[in-house]
Amino acid sequence: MSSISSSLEANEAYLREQFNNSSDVVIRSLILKDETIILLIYLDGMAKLQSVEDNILKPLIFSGLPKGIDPIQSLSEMFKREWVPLTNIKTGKSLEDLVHQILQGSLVILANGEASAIIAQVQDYEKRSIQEPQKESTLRGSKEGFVENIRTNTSMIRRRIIHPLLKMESFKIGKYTQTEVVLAYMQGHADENVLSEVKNKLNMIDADGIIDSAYIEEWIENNSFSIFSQIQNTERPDIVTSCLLEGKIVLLTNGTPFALILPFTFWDGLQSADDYFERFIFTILTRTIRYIMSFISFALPAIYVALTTFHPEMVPRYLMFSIAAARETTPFPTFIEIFLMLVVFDGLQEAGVHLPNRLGPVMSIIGALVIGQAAVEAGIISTPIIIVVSLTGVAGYSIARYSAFFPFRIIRYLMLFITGFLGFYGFALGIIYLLIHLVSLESFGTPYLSPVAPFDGKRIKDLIIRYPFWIKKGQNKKENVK
Amino acid sequence: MKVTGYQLFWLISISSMIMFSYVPIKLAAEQSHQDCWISMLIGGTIMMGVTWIMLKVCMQNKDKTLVNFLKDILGTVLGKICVTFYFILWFVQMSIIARGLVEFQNLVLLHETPLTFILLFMFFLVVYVMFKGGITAISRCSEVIGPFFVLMLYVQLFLSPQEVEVNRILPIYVDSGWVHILKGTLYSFNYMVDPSIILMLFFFAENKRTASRGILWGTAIAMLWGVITTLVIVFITGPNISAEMVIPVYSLTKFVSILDFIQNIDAFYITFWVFGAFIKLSVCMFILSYGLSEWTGLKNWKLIACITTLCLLAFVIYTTYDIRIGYEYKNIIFIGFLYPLAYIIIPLLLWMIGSIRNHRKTSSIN
Amino acid sequence: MNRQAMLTSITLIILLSSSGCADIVEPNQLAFVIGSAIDHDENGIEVSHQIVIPSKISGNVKGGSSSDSENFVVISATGKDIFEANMKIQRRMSRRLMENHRMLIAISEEYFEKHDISKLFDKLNRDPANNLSNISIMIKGGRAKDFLMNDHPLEHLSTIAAQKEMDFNGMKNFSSRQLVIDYLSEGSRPLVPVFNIKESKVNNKETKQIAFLFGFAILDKNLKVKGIMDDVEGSEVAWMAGKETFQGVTIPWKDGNGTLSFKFTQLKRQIYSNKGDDKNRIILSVKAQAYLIENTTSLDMFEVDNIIEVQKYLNEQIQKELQETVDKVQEWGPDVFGIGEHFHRKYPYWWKSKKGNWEENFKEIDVKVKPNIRIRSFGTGGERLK
Repeated sequence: MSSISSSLEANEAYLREQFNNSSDVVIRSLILKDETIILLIYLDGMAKLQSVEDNILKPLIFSGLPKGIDPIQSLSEMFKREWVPLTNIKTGKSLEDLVHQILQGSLVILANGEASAIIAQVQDYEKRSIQEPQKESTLRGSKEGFVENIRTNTSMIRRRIIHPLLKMESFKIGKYTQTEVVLAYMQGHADENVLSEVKNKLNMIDADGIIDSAYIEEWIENNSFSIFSQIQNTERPDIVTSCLLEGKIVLLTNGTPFALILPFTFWDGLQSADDYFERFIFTILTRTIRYIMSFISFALPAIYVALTTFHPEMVPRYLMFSIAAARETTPFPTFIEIFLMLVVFDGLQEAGVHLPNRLGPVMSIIGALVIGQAAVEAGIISTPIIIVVSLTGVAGYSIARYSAFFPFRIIRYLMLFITGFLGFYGFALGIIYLLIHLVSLESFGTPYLSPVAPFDGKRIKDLIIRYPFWIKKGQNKKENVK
Repeated sequence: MKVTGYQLFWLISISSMIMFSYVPIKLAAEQSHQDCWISMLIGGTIMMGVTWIMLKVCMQNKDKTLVNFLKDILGTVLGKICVTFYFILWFVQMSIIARGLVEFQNLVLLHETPLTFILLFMFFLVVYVMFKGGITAISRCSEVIGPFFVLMLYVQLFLSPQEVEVNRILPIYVDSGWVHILKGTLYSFNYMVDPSIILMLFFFAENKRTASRGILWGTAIAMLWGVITTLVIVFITGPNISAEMVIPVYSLTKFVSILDFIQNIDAFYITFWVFGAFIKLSVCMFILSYGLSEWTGLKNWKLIACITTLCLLAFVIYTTYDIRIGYEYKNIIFIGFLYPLAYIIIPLLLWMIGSIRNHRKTSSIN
Repeated sequence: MNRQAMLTSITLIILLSSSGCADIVEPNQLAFVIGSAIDHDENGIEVSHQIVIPSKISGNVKGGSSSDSENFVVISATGKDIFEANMKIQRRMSRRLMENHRMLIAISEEYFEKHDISKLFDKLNRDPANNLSNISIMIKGGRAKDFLMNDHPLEHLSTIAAQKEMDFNGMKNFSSRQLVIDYLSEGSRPLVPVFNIKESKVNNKETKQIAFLFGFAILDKNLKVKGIMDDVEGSEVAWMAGKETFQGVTIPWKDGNGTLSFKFTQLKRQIYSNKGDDKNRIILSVKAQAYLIENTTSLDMFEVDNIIEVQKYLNEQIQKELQETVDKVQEWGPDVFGIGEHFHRKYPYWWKSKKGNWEENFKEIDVKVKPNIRIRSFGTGGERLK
């Protein structure tokens, strides 16, 4: 920690050495009337040059020391009183601090003979404007989504919750990136234990850089080896607002529009924001369908294999004949066929994600026509299999949160394997295994499957029925169920 | 590791219904034909009484498990000997269910797969749940599985109304007479519900009052299911066939034919049965290993669980080779000695001694 | 600990592959047995299975329904008992037999005479691959195998045709399970539908052998055929046994001019005992609801007097006919109506003394038929259009 010396040359030499190959750091010196040299250092492209020119350079050059209400005798007084006409001013004490601040886009003012520096926050840089979030769109509800700049994000939340109990604590994480992470919560609603746990974990992160909130997610989650995510991520400020009101904790990261919400249960992954914006009776229907569809999305290929190859007696008579007739000419066993088609389907999905927008529809048509139709006509794949696989894929898309959909894709394969070897018994074993895993998973103190297990009678109705808003619910405070 | 009353309710009802669906109905129907429902009713009431006594014993010793309070009340040596009876009982019950599971699978679903594999997977899951969370994980699983399981078992009874002919249950009582009815009860009541697991699980319950309510309700639901099942079986098949069916509940599912479309759903039913069997096996395994760890003093009950599982595996495989051990449900040692001891004599004894002690304590305080 | 658990689980999954998919049977490796036939043979028994060829029967784009080749295949084998015959059939098959979807078992009359059917039931009850919900029928005047060999002009398979015929004509209570229950209970005797194969001309080009319902067979305690009733009498017996759901009846009118035809639905029957000491008197009450379908008399069915008279007369006629049938059955011996079961339930102690020789004792019971038929509707016309 080398402190700022009074000698401007020494300071300047140090700074020039630190920034010796960075052409975007501007060091401008200014000689005042009484031979005092002032040094202005800023990062080109990140500082609001206009305000620098108007508020600092112009007055200093044309009018000398700022006059103000009392006349200032010397530069040191200006420094002591931080008499610079800008809103966000700090005094810097060490050279490392100065370097750090310059890199963040602040303006540093050094003067000959002064052992301190003035740091002005004049950051201004290009950023994306507020747009509709791509991944999570709803039919009704606000169309705003978060952006990369953390100040804009926090302001979006502040605009929605206007109450002093909304607290935002800031952390800087990452050795080289010094990413700002904001922890937002409603004091009194959020659980104290969870808060302290999160803060401890954030302080313990020792990473080179934080590029996205996913990095933080992996650092602080309970169990990284599970396929189920224990932290929710979202781009929408309205979801963040309602979660804050429920007592959850939100982490915003600079550089990414995705906010993290914790704690997270399995059932939260199957909800969608639309549930709250449509009439409550429709919600019952859509939620029931969504649960059935999620079950189908991981279980249908396995059930199909189990039924047709292990237990054909369960299939109604004439349906079985149709399936058997369709299978007469196909070369692969059912299990291999379904596996191949699932892989192809997943491949198509992956391809679709990375495509430029204009090729998207073309891709799906090619996929459907070429692969599906031609394979059937060539007699390589039988038609019921195409039906099963497409139904499975489509059912998966009914899960509103895209990242909650990933576990089901993996489970699909696992269930297919184990059912392919052991029939319905294997299916039962697979489900039990999943159940054990889910039941013992925890997300920051909340069991992953609550309120179903352990049973919380007050909250369980919320899974299917969303009561009209005017019915008072139990309490908004989250009880720590342990 | 804590268990709530609601979780206990599901645990008890699932364990009881599994035991009920496998053995007792055939034993009773053999003896008393169309009056087997009377045997069931009597047997069920006896078992409810046993449950009540055991609850009383547990309430007297609220903060100890069976092993500890047996030691307290009966003294170290006698207590340890008595506990071994319970260990044997649980071990035998587990082997019955495991063997039933394997036979079901082999008979109905998987004809070629070797038995060892079927058992291996099930036991792997049991050990896995032990390691993952012990009784909390098991009870949470039972909360999820419970409603589906119980619903499925109840609904299955009502799926073939067109076959039901209520008259088949008549004439009541005449054909069999008291002797046969009581004989039916005698053979079957041991296998009806499963009260001995309460003795160990009560210790883990948080709120003792809701726990006891949950246990009583669980046993009641299982009993009700048993009696209704017996009635339905007699309605549908009449007295003669039901005495010959080895596992009547399974044969019941074979009769279901809805709109001539959904038929032969027995494979589906067996899948649900696997869920219930898993819960029962894990509960018994947990109790056994926890009890063994307290009995021997080794703290690491998870290790004991592994070892016990291996022993059980070996035992079940052995019984499939040696037929005699496997099929003796009516063995005189069990019926005459082990079951009455474990279910009736020891709890009564403990209750009496416990009340005498409490009485003495309160009178000495005064 | 987590990692170890994962490793073990992965090893186990890999172990899975070593167990081999021992149990997977593809649908095109299965032979779906729709019907079975049992015949008498010098060695013992001949079992035939009618096996469906799915591609011909389903509405698949590729299969197409060709009229040249048949939809099914019949494979048979002989053996000393059922299991041996079945094993021989399996050996001749290139696919595994799947009997769970079987709809029908056809047994020839000869087999009934020469063998004991109850041995069949054991296999059906024990092997979980069967269920007892298929229909059992008897084939008269031919081999049961021929029944399977024929095809049907309307349906894909003769078995399906027979099952549908019985279904649509209201005979739903003739499953194997019902047969077993009747056989095992001491108070009633089984009743089996009888089919026989006749040649009939379906259109100008073809004459086919088709199996039709011929009547009903009455079996005694040892499952031997005591008598075969034809269609009309047989369906009356079925009605009184509580097994039929509807039928049609034609009665001639009093003055001999014209007939009235009714359709009876909601057939029910109940057995009552008279109050009083004489336990040998039974009233068999039958109920139905009648719809007038055809009227060739000169009556105007819109007149109230006519309606009442017709109803009375209908009841009388039915009483006469049913009583005749009951007496006929009583002469033969077996109690297919379940009167013994009624005694079993109502007077169990008295029943104990009688049940030993129920064939003989049944003849002493005085059964009176009491019909209670209500005329529900007359259709849309009043008088016959002249």
